[in-house]
Amino acid sequence: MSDIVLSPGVRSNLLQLQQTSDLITQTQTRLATGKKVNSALDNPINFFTAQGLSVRANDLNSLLDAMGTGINTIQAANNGLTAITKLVQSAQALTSQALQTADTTVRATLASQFDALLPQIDQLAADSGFNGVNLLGGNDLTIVMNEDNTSQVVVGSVNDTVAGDLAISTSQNSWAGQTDIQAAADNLKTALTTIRAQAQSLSSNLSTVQIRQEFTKAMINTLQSGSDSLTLADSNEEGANLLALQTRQQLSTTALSLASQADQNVLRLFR
Amino acid sequence: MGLKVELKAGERFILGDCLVTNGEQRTRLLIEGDAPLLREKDIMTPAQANTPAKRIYLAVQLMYTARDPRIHHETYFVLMRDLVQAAPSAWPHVVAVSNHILAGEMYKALKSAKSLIAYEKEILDHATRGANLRRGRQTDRKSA
Repeated sequence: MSDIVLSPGVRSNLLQLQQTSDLITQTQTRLATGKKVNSALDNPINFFTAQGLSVRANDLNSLLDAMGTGINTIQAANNGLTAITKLVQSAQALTSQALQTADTTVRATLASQFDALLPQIDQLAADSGFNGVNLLGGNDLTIVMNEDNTSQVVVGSVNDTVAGDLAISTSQNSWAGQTDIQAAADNLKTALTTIRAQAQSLSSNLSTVQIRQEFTKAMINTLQSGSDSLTLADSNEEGANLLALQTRQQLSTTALSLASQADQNVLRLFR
Repeated sequence: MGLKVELKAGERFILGDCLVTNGEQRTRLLIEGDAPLLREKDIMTPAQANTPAKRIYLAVQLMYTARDPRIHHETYFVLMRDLVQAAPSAWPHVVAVSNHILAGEMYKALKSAKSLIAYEKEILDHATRGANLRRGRQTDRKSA
């Protein structure tokens, strides 16, 4: 087993941890020397600050709903794509069976099965909507990310019907000739590539929206917990608080985890 | 329209997952695309981040340069809550940073975090000055 190597960032944090014990005493004294806490009624500014915070939390909550619906819409489209992929794969199985036989009757049966599959693909594409928005059926999805509507994610729609983006044509000549089957097989192959590309772009959109959703949730929590504890102090007190916090953070796991996160980031190259 | 970057000899910057170091002469680069880009003067190392606001800046910077910013969100919110509880008047600055992150404008978020650091310095300077005054002259305590 190799030794554990401490990066300079982590090491300096550990050093700070060791040197902090005398600072703690100092901080505790500062904290003990009367930090006055006002009730909201005593201080109108506080009251309105706190109120502003909860209004903002409400605004964010409605954004969050929109994001949730957006995520469901993307997921519905994604489920549709998965199901369509399976159908296209079954169609591929039909073409490869047809290629393995020379019997034209068997080929004709397989061709009619193939033709019967195609409307099912259209049906699935039509049913992949959520809340009236179908990303596989030509409805774009716009998700608003902030209250003043300046940041949006627009998920472009596709048209996943056999006559549309998938471009799969019905069987020719009841698949009597080798080239007829091959044409269908080529169509299917291209269709699968199209679907894969669409799924990839959907999932990248999905993760963008999910990241923002989590961030918004955490922000709402902070706003809500913040609004009751916020009491405007004068700048002397704020300064003392900040100094105390500065000391306290050196002891905290947050500083350590920041340093180790930086070690795993491209920032590690920057020494 | 790309971004023009002018570099002094030996100046470094981060571009996406890479650290780019300039050679021995001044260079002018034109960069197109949307990879994260950080100039040397904007980079905060963990060792430099020794105040609450600087730590927030570092966390935002990590989000900006990370492929998956999610792992840094938790740290960010812990830091943000701590700071706002210690100095509620910093709230508008913190909101600006958060809003930019929410809108995915990470470079602007960094800029706002910078103004948060400036604001914190203002408060801290005031506090240290006040403490020195108090220590120097006991009688001045009230007026200081």
